[in-house]
Amino acid sequence: MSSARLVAAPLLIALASIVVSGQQRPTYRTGVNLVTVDVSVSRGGHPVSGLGLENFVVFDNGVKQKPDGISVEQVPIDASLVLDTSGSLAGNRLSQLKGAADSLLDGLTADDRASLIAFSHVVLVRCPLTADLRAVRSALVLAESSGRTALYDAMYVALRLREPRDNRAVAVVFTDGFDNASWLSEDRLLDAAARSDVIIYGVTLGDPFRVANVVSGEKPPSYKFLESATNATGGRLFHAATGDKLKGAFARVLEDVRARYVLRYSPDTVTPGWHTLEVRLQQARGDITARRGYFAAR
Amino acid sequence: MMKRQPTLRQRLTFGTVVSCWLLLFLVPASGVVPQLNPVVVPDLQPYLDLIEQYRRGDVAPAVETLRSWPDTKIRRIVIALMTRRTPALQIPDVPAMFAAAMLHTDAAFTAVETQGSSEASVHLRAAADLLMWTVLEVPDERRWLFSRRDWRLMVTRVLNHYIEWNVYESLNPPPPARLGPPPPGGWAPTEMSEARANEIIEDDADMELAVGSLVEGVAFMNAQEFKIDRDRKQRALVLQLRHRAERHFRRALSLRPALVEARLRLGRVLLDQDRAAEAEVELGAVLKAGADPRTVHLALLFLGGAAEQDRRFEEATELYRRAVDIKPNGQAARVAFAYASERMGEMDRARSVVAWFLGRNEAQGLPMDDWTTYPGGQYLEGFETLDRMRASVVRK
Repeated sequence: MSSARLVAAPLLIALASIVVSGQQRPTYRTGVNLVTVDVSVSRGGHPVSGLGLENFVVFDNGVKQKPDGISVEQVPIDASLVLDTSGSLAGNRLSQLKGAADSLLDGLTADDRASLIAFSHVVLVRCPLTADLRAVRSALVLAESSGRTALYDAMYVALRLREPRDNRAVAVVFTDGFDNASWLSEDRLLDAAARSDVIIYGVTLGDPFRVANVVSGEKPPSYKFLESATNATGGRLFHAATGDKLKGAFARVLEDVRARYVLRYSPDTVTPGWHTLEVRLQQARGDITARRGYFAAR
Repeated sequence: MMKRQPTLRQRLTFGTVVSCWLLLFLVPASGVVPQLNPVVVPDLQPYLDLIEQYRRGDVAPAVETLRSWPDTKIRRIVIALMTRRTPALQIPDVPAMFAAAMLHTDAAFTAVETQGSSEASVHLRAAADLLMWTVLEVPDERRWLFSRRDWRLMVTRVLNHYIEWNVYESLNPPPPARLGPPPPGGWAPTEMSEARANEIIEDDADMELAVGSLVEGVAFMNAQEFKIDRDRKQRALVLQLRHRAERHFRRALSLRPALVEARLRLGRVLLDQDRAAEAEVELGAVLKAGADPRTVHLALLFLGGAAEQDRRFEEATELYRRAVDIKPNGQAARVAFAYASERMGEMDRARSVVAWFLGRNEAQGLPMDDWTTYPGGQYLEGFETLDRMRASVVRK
């Protein structure tokens, strides 16, 4: 590998660890760094296709960058299904969730891989990352609902089990409630998410405005948290008002993942630490979501 | 100017006398509660039959039937039994009254399981009243008080499992009945709850620990359920609860300094109040006390949390590593160890710590994580006592 490849934070660290053995910290020479940014563009809730290099402007720590590459090719996906199977999912809801997750697996191709993490207060990797989607389906069947909700800990496990490869890592997180059993706090999980290159997609169940605080009108905390997590990692949050709408929400996740753009640019210098990223559209309309930034190792 | 108020003991003494009068004479005579005879209280006999069914060991059917009765009917019967104005009927004996209390207790916990908090409150209130008034039938008052205290402790511990503060609060009767007429402006909420608490749990370290654990659990759930940083009112409530839990744990320790769990919980609740230095003193004392593996495991986790709060990640990592060593199957310790490693820049170690999850499966058994059970306080002891108490009233 002649040049270190810079992607959003963790991949940067991960790849560096291939070059630099052990726990030595990687160093990057200036001028040869490549940053890739995974971007989703949507309009009216649907992905926007057909955009080119000329439609994007990237700011790295406020400095305008000229993207020198763009691709919308089918990047293989590593999809971690992180599913809430706590007691509130008992009965029909769990069946509907399994059906929805199963339909997402139907949409994956032979190049893609998937894993299944089911969580209540226990975080259980029911199926590690594999290209054998039948194994994931079999594991899905066995999931049962009970117990409390360790959402943050489960998401952390999903983020850290990410295997450093060129595949697009996506965590599809489903929950119908709020965390009440994790060791990690929301802030720590968001911090870990920012260090990771995993794109978090969220699916929630229940009417967020019906269960919102009647006085303040605020959305419930799980909704807010997933909003923060998806915003921070450049993913999106989808909502199913009822169990039978879950399949549609999962389908939209896959549709969005498939339509993402990968922008590449080479900054002149890369200072260690946090880099704020901003991606804007020009001569095109749409809502853009991309990771808020990345960590460059020392 | 603040008006001087009567002391707690004065209120309690006065309140007890007043409430006895109210219940024995004024209430039945008022016409609101029917005079007690088989005609006016037609449900009494079916109720006594239910108690018999429960005592025979048909617990679930008896509970199910009782739960189908309306609240008003239950209150009417309980008042009938409490006032003992039932000469035409056989007054149930003390074991039967205790069985009735346990029947209501089981009904309450079954209701809690199905999230029927208000129903649970009705049954626990009934059980508490029946137990209180059975004192008239027991020759040895001290023995009676011991039973009542044990029941109360058991209920508090079991409610801890469900983190059911409102149901617990329903055990405390409204102040006018016990404390006499309210002072001008009414009772201050804190004064009222303190008075209620002291009435029941004065000088009882176990009770202080149980109530403190329940308050701590409620604070935990509120902090999790609502993002307290974004909601000032909610934040104030959580802080108030944590402060109250701290008071209970300190009281427990003043009564029994060797009560290690109270010290562990005091450490945790101090940590939750961002008082890491004070927390470390208490948690360090827990480690020195040579406690059981669960307590040491949790103390190490919390000490790690304190070090993390202070951004001493290296120290936190070491503490978490020790926690993992003590309980290799501890989920929270694994996650804590991995995250602290990550914060130190040790990503490879973070990954290898999390890789443990890949080998975890149901076939190997999934023991409850100590952190997961922590908010439930002493619920296991509570359920054990519940089983023992039930067994004591069910005929062999």
